[in-house]
Amino acid sequence: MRVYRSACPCNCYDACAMLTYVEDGRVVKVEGDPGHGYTRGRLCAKGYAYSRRVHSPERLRYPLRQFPRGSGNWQRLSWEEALDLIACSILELKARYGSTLPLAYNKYSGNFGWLQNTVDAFFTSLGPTTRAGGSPCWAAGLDAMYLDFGTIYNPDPEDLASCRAVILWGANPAWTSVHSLALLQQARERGGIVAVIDPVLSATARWADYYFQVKPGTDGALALGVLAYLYRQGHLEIETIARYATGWPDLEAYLQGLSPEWAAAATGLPPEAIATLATIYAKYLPAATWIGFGLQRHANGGQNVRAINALATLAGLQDGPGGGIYYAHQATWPVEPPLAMPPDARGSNRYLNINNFAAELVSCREPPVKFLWLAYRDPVTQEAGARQLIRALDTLEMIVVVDHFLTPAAQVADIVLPAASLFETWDIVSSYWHYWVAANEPALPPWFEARSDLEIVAALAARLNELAPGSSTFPVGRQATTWLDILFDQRLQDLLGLKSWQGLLEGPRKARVPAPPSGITLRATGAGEAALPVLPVYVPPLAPPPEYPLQLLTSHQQFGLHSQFQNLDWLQALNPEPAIFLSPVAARKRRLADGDLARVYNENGEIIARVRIEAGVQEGVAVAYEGWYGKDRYQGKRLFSAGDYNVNFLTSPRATDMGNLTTGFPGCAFYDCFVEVCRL
Amino acid sequence: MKQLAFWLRPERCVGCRNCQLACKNEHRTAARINWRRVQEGEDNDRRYFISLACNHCRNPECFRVCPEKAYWKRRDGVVLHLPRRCQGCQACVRACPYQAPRYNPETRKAEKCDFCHKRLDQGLPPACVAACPTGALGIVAWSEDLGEAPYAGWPGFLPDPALTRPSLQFTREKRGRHFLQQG
Repeated sequence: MRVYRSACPCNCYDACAMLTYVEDGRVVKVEGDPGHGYTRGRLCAKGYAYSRRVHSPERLRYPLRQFPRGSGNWQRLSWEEALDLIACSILELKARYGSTLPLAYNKYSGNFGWLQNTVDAFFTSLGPTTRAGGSPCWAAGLDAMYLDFGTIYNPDPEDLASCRAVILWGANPAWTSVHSLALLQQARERGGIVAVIDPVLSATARWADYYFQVKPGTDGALALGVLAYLYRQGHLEIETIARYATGWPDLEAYLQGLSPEWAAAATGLPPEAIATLATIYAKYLPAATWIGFGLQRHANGGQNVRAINALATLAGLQDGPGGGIYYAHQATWPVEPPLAMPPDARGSNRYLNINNFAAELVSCREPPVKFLWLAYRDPVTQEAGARQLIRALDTLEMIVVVDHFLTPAAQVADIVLPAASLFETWDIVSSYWHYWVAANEPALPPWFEARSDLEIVAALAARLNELAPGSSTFPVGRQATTWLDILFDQRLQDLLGLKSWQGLLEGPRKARVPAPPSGITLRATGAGEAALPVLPVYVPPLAPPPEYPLQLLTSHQQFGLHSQFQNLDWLQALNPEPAIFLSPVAARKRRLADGDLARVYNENGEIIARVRIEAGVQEGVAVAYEGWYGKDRYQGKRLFSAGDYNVNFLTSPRATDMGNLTTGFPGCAFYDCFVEVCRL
Repeated sequence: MKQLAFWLRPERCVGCRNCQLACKNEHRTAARINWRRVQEGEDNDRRYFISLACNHCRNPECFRVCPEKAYWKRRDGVVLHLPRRCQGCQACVRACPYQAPRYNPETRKAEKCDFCHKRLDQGLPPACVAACPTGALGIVAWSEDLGEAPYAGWPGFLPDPALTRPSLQFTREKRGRHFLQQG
């Protein structure tokens, strides 16, 4: 049995380094790498199921063509045939429109390994193309950080273990960052406390010392109410604030008009809760505030993050460093390697908002988009307004999907290419949370005819140049390891203290943590220029329309990561069918019992799910977890067909208030989604 | 006499299922067979997750009812199942109050948690314990019969420990304070 170094690249805070045990060409076991300082030898429930993913009988083995599109009539292709069809489509479109802009690609976070950048490089190598820009994940919060601090900075989360208080504001690490719990538990054992603020009594909230159940989208009122309370009680160090924060007099004037009763009414909490949270911020120092991604997925999401930033910064100033605000960072991420476009290329890339991709795809003119490459994601499962997307995709002439499974996006594609898994490729994985970086080495021979995304675009570039010399500048002979040499540039070498990335083959390594920002800008002129409030004042959330009184929160599920993992047998056994979680009162009003099948609907569409009544869900809220339920059958019974459950049939591509500054487009207000529920 | 036992601190358990999946990863059990399972139940008006596997009881019912003598208890208290002897009669599956032995229709035999005795012999904790991020699941070695003491924090929704004397110790901790919506 041989042991290989692997790294999980699937868009997670923890970005685990793994040790993979291989016997007779099969992964028999995975373990956390004890040399990784954040994950310390543990994985998560999903990671422990990796052996079921890499050898899944449902994993794609060969290139496939679907004709006609959406028919389910699949035909196996050789790689030559598949690449020929794709290359001919690219060249024909280029000739027809005299431009490469009809060629588009849309990729995101299914695999955040560094080599994902080679797909961007491939499209650069063709000339100006159309790209999905922006981020469905964290855009509004990133802008809030940028407006307030002038930079995107995350303290070292290993310091959480030495904080006296950790306030998890809209984060549920029990499901999404299980290794962080070990640090939080250490903090508790040293006498610290953990508080959770969440509209839903999450698994993390059940475990915490304090739980505050806010109405969705009212986080800003809680933060400002607590800050006003601390101000009135004389707990703020006004002199220090005047030095460290610009715009304090303006905020001070605003705070004078706020009261705990106002905050209690806005958030739905008892006034005592405001005082309790204020006491935590005032007495337990240093306090860390971890701002989750969920709370910024509202139309007022960025503004709420700014309010929390103001509270956490101003309340924390009476103490030294050690606490702080945790959100995310990109300090250890590589940049797209430079590559020249072909000499005859003119113009620049065209960017479409990834969060409004369907509408922007069909409204693209001169030239229209005709070709789409989908990789590292399943937008049909994950994009708000999925029905619109399916219709928009149908206007295209060629859709290529690169994936491991026949996902909903693959089911509406023309050509599906089997991607190699992390166990069959080289890569490097960084985190957007901690500062460790880990290498991933191939542990297995290729799975049937699967190829890495890099090998696929390199072969396609070679074929394009055979058919039309000079149409791609992509360095087709460059190996994965050479790409990693290039991506491991001077900046990353300095951060990690390594001359070459091969040093990571001896074990994961921690990068130098950048210096914290020097102050907070409470009066952000950049916000004013974007027609947003300059101060972190409270902007109320959207109210539900009378016909759809329930606010649908479509948060991350426990046994999947977006559209990945849930379809594996070990995890599906734990979570076999989708559910709609309702409060006892909301269920009683609708005469719904636990276990009923229900229709969840609004103006965008409907889904079918099993009713689960939970006391931890508040009355005005319904919860349905996002992700792809990969099988129609459970224990032989047909419960749901593939089209029955996709929470994004209900969501709409509504923009968040922020996101333009850091990602080029606003984020997506996934959770400003209102529905009604009735018995099926 | 020594007895290895699992040690649960329910207030620390977040139901992450790391223990359950780490067990599957270690022992490669079939999709629907779990030697360790996280259950949920209500105790004193709060819901708790409880991670249960074989309790390696002092008075193991599996051992008592097995007609093939396919169970034995090691000197360290670990109860092991010998698949070689098992005829798949499922007497143990029916007898165990904790549903620890599971019947595998593919092998036509029962199977259950073996306390990762191979790992223990290498000085490693069981895979489930190594995977727990919060210390909700641990092991302790009882050096003598502690009587009823380990069962002091026993959650009401689990079967009475008096039946088989499970090697399962509970430590209860402080509960959190909840501020809920004012309805």
